[in-house]
Amino acid sequence: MNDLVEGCRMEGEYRIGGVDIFDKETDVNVLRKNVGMVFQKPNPFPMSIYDNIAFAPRTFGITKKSVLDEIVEGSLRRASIWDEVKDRLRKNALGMSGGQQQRLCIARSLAASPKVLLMDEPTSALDPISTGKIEELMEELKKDLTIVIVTHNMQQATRIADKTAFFLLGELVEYGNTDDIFISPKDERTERYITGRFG
Amino acid sequence: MRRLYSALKYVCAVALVISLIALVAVVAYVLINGVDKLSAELLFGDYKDTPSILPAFIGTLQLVGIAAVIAVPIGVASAIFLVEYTGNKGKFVKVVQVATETLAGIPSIVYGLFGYLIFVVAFGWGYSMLAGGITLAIMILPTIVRSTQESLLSVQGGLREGAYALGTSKVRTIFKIVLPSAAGGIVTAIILAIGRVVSESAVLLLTINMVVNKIPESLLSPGTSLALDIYYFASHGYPDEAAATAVVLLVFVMMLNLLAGFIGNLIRKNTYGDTK
Repeated sequence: MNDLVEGCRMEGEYRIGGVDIFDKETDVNVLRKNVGMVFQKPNPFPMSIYDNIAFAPRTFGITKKSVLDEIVEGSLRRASIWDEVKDRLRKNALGMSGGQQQRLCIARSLAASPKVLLMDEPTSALDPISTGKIEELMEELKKDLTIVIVTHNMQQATRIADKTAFFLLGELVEYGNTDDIFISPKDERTERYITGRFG
Repeated sequence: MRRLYSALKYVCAVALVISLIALVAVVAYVLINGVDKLSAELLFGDYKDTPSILPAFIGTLQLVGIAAVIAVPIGVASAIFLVEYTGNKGKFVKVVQVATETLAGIPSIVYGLFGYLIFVVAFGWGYSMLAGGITLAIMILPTIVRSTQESLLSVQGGLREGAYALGTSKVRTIFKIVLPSAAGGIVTAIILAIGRVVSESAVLLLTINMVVNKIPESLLSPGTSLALDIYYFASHGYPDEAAATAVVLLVFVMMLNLLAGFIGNLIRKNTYGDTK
């Protein structure tokens, strides 16, 4: 996805499950299926809740209604939004609140059964209650898939992350267990950042 | 200072009243002169001896059909290429932009002359509905490209990325996400472009040759349109029939405009649902 961003610069090697993701041989659409992505701003498609979730499975050629129904319900349940929307699956997704939209987007990613889920500041546009719900959800989800989350909220990182990496101006400064990073950072810049004395 | 502000308000109000009077005067004049001549005879009567607009009505529909069949797919596809495949930036897009804007501003008689020299003379089709229709298609093409482009650009950026992130191909993203979201604007633009075809006369004078008393036998026959009939009646001593034809044309264009708004809203509602 980052090749869609202008002025993006990369160094080093990028491997997911041993596959070099920038190798010419790698099928970018399969890669994107295996790596789900949730954006900063909720971006549900302007269609019904059901069609939003069914979009990815349909893309991969699933058309049988019973199978789609199952995927839709399963994905919505995993994103713990099923109870809120089960009676209005045919309603337009844009009628939902921001927090619901974001969980719908998570469900939509899950419907592609990804192995890794990238979340780019998924709660920065949401209120604290919706944020709480999404954090609970991430706790659940991280049991069966890898979540990579970008956040500017250090409390959020300490609450949900097992491992934390600190990036500064595009450079990876420090990476380790969340507890180690926040309690005894090795790099001076990390320490200055987490204690709020930065910049 | 405050006095100046309230004076501005009155100046604008007077300007508005003048615009309204001009508009109402035209419509009222046409209606007053035309309505009592609006007979079944004029609308569907025998066009060989007495004035009738039946050939013009059929001719107008033919022209709309030819122009739309050619201009809509080409125009929409061009806009898709510009916005979705070139990212709507770069030198090439800039050049196309300037070209479409210039073409949209050219007086229609110039298109008419082009159609006459190319289709009527060089291609040897003679005055024909086909020559007129194709020339009209060329005329509305820039408008369709331009407004489709605007509609595509107004689709929220996040939607495309959202689809790509699910492993959706570009083609599927365009057809399933982008076009449905932009459809309201595109359809409105197309119907308004058709409105221009219906009201055009300069192009047709030079390409279909105003044969008012004959229904075109084929697309290669000459013919007439509603707008041309107005000119014909007015210049051949039937001013009231001209006004009556103008009433028909007014109603036609008005219906197209209403239809544009209606369909546009309908699609928008279908896509964005009961979000209010």
